[in-house]
Amino acid sequence: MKPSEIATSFRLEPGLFLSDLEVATQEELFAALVDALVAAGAVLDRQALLRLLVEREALGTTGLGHGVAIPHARSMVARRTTLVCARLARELEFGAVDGRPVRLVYLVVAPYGAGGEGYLPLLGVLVAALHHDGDRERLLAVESFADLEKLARQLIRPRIQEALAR
Amino acid sequence: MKRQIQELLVLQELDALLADLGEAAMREHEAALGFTLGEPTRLAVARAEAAARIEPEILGRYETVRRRHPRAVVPSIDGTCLGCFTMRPTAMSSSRPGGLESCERCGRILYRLEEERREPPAPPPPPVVAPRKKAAPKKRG
Ligand SMILES: [Zn+2]
Repeated sequence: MKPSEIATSFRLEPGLFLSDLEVATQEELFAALVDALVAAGAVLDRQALLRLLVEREALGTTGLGHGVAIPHARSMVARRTTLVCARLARELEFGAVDGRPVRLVYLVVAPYGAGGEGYLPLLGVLVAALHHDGDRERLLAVESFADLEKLARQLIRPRIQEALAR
Repeated sequence: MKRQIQELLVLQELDALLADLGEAAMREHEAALGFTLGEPTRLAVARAEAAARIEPEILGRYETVRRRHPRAVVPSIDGTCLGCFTMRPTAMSSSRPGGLESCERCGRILYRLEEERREPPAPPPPPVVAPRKKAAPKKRG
């Protein structure tokens, strides 16, 4: 793979979009996201990643506003850079920067070293999209796996390429 | 032993996060993206609690290996350590300090990936010639 291909490569599959997810707490949310990752074979150990995400969140909120949280972590048990998206059935308190509860979650996990090259580019593009009026609408509009695939194809991967070309 | 590996994997994640937090580059990346990181007070407590759940001998082994390899606990597949990626499984005869498998080449603590992947082994087949025995009469009184 070329460096640009490595940096834009992240795993996306139907099980990694969770619609109308019923969770009452952050820990329940992370458990559901980690379960999806385990089922997809993207991580080697459920408990280790779950503890990591909970402790990472305790260090500072990943709720970046507009009802969106972007939790993220490099993990010793992650196998490759993977994006999981969840649309919550009910708003969840996240201590977000704008004080608004969260309805949409984009979780990025990646291994340290090989396989994790796409971590920072992916995270950067998601955050940038959230702060850009037009892109934010596209981010917020994701309601199915097909939408997520479209977002990846039309926005995320091209933006990563653009960022790398700069 | 599986439980101890489990606890080691948790500990390793927390240690990796603590190490990341000590790096200015990581904090700068997070800040640039709009994520504010507080002091790792709770993380340090979680780390201590995780360490306390591990047997002292195993914890000592982990700490020793970690000085050389930050990723001290790694999976092995069919006897191959995925820490040093040797392609010669025969060279990987493992030792078992503290009851845990370790890679003899790099010293990392191993957990077997195939155990999670594969179905549990089938029960052994019944003996070919089953001796016919009458059930012993129950003793009374
Ligand atoms: Zn090794």
